[in-house]
Amino acid sequence: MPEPFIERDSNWEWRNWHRTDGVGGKAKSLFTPRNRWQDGTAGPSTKKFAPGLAGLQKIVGLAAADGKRVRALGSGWSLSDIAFVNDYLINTSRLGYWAIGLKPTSVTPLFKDRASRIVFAQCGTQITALNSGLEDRVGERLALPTAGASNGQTIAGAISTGTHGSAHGVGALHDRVRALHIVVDSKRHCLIQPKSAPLLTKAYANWLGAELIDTADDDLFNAALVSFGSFGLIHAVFLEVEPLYLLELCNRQFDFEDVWQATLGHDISNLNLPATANVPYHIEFVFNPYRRANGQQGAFVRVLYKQAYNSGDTLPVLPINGGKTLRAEDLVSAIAIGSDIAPGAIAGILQGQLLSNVSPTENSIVGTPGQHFGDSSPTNGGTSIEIGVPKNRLADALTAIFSVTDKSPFGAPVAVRYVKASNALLAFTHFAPLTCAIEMPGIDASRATVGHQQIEQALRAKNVPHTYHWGQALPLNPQHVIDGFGEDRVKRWLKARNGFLTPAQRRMFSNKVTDACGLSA
Amino acid sequence: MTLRSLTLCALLAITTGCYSHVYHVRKNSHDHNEVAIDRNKPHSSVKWGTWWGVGAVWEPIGCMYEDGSTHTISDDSDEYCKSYYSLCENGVGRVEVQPVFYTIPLTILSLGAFYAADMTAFCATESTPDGPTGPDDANGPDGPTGPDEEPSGPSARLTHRPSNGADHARALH
Repeated sequence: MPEPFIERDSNWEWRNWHRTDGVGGKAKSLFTPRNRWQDGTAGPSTKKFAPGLAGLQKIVGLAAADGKRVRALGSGWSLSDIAFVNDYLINTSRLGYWAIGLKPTSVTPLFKDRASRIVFAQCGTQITALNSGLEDRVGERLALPTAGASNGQTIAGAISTGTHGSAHGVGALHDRVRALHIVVDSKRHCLIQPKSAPLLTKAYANWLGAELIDTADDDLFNAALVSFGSFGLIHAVFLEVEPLYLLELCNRQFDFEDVWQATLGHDISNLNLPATANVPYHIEFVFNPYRRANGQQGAFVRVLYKQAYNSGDTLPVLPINGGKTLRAEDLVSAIAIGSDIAPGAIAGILQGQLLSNVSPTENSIVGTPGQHFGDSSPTNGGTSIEIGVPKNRLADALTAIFSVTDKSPFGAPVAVRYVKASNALLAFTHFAPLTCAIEMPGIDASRATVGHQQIEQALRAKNVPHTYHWGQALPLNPQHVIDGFGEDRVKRWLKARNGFLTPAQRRMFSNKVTDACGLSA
Repeated sequence: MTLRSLTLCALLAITTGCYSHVYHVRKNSHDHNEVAIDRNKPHSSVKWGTWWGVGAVWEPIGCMYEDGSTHTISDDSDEYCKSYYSLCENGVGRVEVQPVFYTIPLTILSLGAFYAADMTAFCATESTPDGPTGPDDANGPDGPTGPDEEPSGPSARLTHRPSNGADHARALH
């Protein structure tokens, strides 16, 4: 086999996309493998991903030989150091091969009728590429069943950290992953799938040259699904997609009191939104915590109704305003910049940002998922925390958060989304039946840092079970992991990892975040 | 507004690092979103604009040495290179141009003869899907057929020309 082409840069100063203060740093080496061999040729037409796979194996072998830790970077979307390590970093951005459908001999009888809707996506494939390629597909147009608010993440990065939307009937993106292809050393790469719903056959594993892991239960798969690089390097993801659908957007602005009960009950029937026969696909509430009095209009509701797309219909065209496509906007972009400089101005600045970001719509706007969950802009210093709580404790959680923001204002809205419970052991959306994901995005200022710490204390004081999004700012201690996920889930995750990797490999695929959270052992 | 607030606002206003121009290529698909880019490894360099734009074309290329290590070459060739390679196989997707701290004083002192700016280019990584993968039969190693060539895209060349504060970066396709 020819040598894979890998760029190697020494002492690379890496920053995340939002250039969050304190995230990233200097790595001994940044490796950038590509889907080509050193002699300049590409992989065979049936396995164009082969050079990239060989490149990942070579880098892991090098890290093992050098006694270094190694971690794969997605798009640098995370606002924590979950993807960073000081030793060997792998830039997976050039590994963007993907294919729609699996051949009949590749899938088990369980997926016989769904094989054409399984996507093989190499780790560096970005959500934006998936959206466009699926929606523009000749024949049956397809779509991701859910996504985050924006589209720049890589597929492996998105699932590994628990990226989600507010499609309460679907779950998070990782909940539609049916199998994982993981590189663990220079010679071994494995296919992991749930015992209860296996996707791939031995014939496919042979074709790939991978070891098909046979397990007694689903724990290994559920552990590896949200594992932020701790089970090895994810080379590819097998994702189930669905026929294209359309989303009808409706944004409205209210007084806080008018939507409080709707927020707690996840029920918008009394909000006098436009009558539609469609079931809401996505419901999201966004609050300005400093505009909660009557008449201040500090609450915003964003609802997306799902509509069928009729095959052959022309796709909707969204208006391009001010040089930009319509953007659902990642809320990290809704920042109250300058919160440390002028705390008194926070409420007003935040209200202006929210009016721009979740602007009330006069008429419903129909678009594809790729159009609604589109581009976002880097914030040059953005940060955020996102906390998962059980739906029946949402009132306590929000009350605790508002008790902090009332005393110590910092520039961040409070957004509430709803996610179906995940089976992934360390998914922060694991609370059944619905996890409420409370997000507070803003600028990484000292007021925000203090506010985040006070919120953690307030939630503990009220005994609210809660978890933290792995890709956002989170406490670096093992206690919140045990408390948030429960001892049983954490033990099962560690047991699955210990059974899958050798001690040396476990060290190699750890970093300072997993060390601090008690997940490296 | 306090004195401290005003002072900090004034400091922000004169910090040249706050100003930048960004160009991002849109896709040709129906959504016209921005193309996917490699955010982790941009190519960046402080480029000088001089009289009449002499020497203003920036054409970086990758160089691989005998031992497999790589290096980006911005200006001169390297006699030890075993082979050269394109940094961006699919072209450039995003360009950012930002003044450096000495841009404004230097431009003023040189009466506009010299202008320096930090240019950063991000490679496009947009990819389109293949057909079904997997073996053709239970034993066989074959998969679907398709072209063998590398993903192709327009080659890009960045040019830098001094002008009066307008967008200094263009991606020529």
